[in-house]
Amino acid sequence: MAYGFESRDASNNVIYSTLDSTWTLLHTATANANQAHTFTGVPVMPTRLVTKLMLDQVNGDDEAFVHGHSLSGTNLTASVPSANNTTATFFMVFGK
Amino acid sequence: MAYGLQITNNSNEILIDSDFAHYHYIGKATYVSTTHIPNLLDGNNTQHSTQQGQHMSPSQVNGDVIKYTIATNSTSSPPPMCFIKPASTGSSAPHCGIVLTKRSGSSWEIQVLQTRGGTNASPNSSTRPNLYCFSPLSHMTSSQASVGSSTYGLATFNSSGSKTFDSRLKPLKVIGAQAINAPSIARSASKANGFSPVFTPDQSSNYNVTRYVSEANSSDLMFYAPSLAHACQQHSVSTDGDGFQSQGYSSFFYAWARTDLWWCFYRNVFQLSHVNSSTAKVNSAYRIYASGHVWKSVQDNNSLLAAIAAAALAFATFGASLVVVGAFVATSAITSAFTSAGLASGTYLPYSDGARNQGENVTVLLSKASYYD
Repeated sequence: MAYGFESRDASNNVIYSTLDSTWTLLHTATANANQAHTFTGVPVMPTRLVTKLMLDQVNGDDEAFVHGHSLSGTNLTASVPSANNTTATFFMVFGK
Repeated sequence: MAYGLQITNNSNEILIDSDFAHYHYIGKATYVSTTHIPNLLDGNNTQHSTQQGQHMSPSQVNGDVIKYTIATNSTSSPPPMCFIKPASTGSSAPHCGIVLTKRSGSSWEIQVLQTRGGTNASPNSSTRPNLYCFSPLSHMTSSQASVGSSTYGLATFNSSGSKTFDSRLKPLKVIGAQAINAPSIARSASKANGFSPVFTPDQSSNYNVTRYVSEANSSDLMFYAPSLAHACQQHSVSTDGDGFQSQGYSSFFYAWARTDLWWCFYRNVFQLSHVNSSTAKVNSAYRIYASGHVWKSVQDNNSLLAAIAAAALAFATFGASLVVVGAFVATSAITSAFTSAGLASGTYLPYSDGARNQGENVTVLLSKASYYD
């Protein structure tokens, strides 16, 4: 590369370079089972994406709902599709 | 940011920001065991009811449930981000996906569903995938956070003095992202095939994911895409007959009826394929996680008319009612088989002939295993 930034390890492998593109973790949050939440303070970047992961089981049953969500500004809102059959949900917000 | 370090690429996209807790590699999850949901097979027959079909359909092949564990530094640490590095890619590779993540002390247990081939009576397992796991530095165990004697690289700290990035600890480098969905249904074609209904999924969706780095093939790729959607499908068959049982003064008319119900519980899983040097394909489909077959027979010997009426009633109260079927199986000893299989108890009965969480976007993230090997 003619200009920019590179970080290399002791074996001279490039770890990070400004030729890369990646997604940076901005925020994580866990919504409890069967509960709606509003998480505040989510950093803003020009482009963001949300991933979510179902945690545990509800009543020993895999037939469960995951939280719905919306991301607006610094708020991540988690909604409950079912009042008694929504798993805990782990949210990750990435940005670039 | 008022102070600190922020590095952007030529597209002005942020690569490193000292304010944020970047994910770093904490190792491959430790393989624990492979199991699968046992066959939920049960039913009764009467003296004259058909004896056919007292088996699972050959196409009801439950996938492998592969258990892994990975440590974090406390009982309150969030789950790690686990990328699946499949053992093979391409259109004939098994589908796989993370179907359960649960805490176990300061560790997390992760269960991956991977499809099996063959038939119910003779299934074939595939080589299990590896899970490459990532966590913020603040949730690493001391061994995961160890940099040894290495003094090369770059580290950043936030305003609280906590380290947020360390190039010696292999930060996560995402090379592609794409939002995808599950199909609306697992199988749209008819399942009817006598007492061997066909449950093989025939619906899937393909998504092309543009990579930020060029690759000759997909063998080095790994993906993050938790399974959110699941689906149930069912098929029922009703048979009946009547006749006269001749046995002297004890001769009688009889009528019998039997209703069979098969179901499959599917989870959304994924398959990686190579398209070209800058594109990978993700196939999103349902594959069988649990399945069952129950049947119930009734017979009436009072009179032909009474027997037919009883059979009709049996159809009305059993054949058309999943609630009755559910209660029938839930009270049987079969459910205890979950415990012996080392799985959380569950009935896995069909809630309906449909899907849940199907409309939820799953964001697929791609990375390369060779960055961390």
